[in-house]
Amino acid sequence: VQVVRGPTPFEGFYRHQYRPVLALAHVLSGSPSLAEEVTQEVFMAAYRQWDRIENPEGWVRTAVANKVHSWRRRRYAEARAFARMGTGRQSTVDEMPVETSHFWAEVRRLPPRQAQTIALFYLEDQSVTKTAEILGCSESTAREHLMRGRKTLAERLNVEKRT
Amino acid sequence: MNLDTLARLHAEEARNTVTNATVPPIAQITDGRRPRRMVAALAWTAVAAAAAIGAVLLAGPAPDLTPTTLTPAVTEVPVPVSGVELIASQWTSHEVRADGGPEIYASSVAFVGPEGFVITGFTWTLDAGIQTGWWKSAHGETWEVVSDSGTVSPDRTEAAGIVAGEQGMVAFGTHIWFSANGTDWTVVPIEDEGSPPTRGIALESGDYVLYGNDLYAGGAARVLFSEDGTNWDIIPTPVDFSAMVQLDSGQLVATGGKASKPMTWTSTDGKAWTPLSDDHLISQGRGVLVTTMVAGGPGLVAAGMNSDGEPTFWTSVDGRTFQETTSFPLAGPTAEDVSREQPSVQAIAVGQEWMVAVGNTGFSFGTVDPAIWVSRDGVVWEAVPVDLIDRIVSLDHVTYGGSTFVAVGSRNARTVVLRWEPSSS
Repeated sequence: VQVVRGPTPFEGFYRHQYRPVLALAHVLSGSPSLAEEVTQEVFMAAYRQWDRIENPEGWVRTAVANKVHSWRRRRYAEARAFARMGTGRQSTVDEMPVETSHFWAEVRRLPPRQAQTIALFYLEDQSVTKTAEILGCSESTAREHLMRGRKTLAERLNVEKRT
Repeated sequence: MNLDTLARLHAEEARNTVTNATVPPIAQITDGRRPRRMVAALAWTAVAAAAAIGAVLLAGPAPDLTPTTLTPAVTEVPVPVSGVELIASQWTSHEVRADGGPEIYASSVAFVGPEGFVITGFTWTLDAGIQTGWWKSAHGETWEVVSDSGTVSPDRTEAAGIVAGEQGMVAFGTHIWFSANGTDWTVVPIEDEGSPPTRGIALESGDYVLYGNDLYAGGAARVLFSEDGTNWDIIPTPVDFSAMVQLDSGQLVATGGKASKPMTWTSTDGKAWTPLSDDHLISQGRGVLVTTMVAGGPGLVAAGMNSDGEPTFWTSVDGRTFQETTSFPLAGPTAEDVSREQPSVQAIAVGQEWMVAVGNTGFSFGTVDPAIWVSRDGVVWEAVPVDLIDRIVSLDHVTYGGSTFVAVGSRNARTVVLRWEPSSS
């Protein structure tokens, strides 16, 4: 008797969430290879702790945001490592068009929380409530980050900020 | 086009970049295996994080949190550290900020003699983005911005470190800056117009050596040498040095190399470097990182992260043979482990009777664990339960001067200074 095993809950989650999370890592890091590395590391960690994670979608996004932020914050030590990792690697993530790359570079120039809020809000089309939940802050704080980030972006990109 | 429309357009383009991205086989994730190209490029950060998590998972029961102290290679009996609670109560906290001013992030602090202390780092404002900055203080309590801290650049400028030598102060990051007095800073050109590395040391000879990688350009290993802080020569280097120290004998010792094999190198002048043999590896463990070394204790004290990803101290009499003396095992795993910043000792300052080290034992939003350790001899280290660090996001550097330790960190986009003036014992 051949037993056909269906996907485990983690497998289903992984297959469904890998690319969206990878995109988030891409816009927050600006590096396709770093994005892949961080995303895979986060999913591996999620698997190890799967039984203890109550909100997997939020967890992996928080982890990606934190890891990328950590990489930027700890400029010397971690970037040193990631610089090594990126050498000579072929990423399967496509490069962004120049204008898109410029836009997300401007997002990354924002303070980290604002950049993360903008990324989650637009890239993932998340609600403010969901964004706050993922970032572990209050809804009003997330709204404040979003407002400030949009204001700054609009000024830097010389476009209207629609409220 | 308004921002919403523009953002949604570029969000769509960003999502398109992963449409054809390879989703690694599930077994690769569940088995914790990585494709060959990743293995080849694996950095010590990932190794250390995975090792820390994996070791604890494999071990099953929670790890013994008692600090491991090995027998040091010294003849004198170490003076036991005592009264850390008393020491903890003697630290004071000070902020570097201006109401309505920019967000301030400190990278490094140096004692510059009669002028007191200088902090370097960067500011962030809506208009100027990230711009390097300097702040001065006579005693580490009240800080003022250095008004002539350079013109605002259209590009990002950021100082990662500062060293004070006989001829003046050198700050380095996206550029090299020099100041004779800590107030007037000028950008110093580099011969090949590249970016400087992000670590530095001022030598007894009056020379300066910058080492590490040019983080802001591409991560290439570099060594720059200068006799006066303003004219810099590029020194060919085979390795990305992670820490460097000058012993009392004048000999220079540096560590660096692959994460799997952190080598020790020596030099007499900072320009010609000789690797020591495998017999002199600071540790045989994979993923070891030495982040800082100072002259002190039995000869030199090194610190960083051991192969288990734990904040660790080593000592050496001669810079050739090292011994791990104290490490601080981490608790875990927790949900935050995946986002943990590498736990490590970041900097050590040597005072008259005490040494102080700062670093962190973890990092993530909502869970921050900056740490302060003290030692009398560089061999036995003890964590100091400073309540003041509870809300600090990170402790990045520490220095000593004028009988005072000054450590810098950050909290909510403000730079925080922790200050300790030990009483004579």
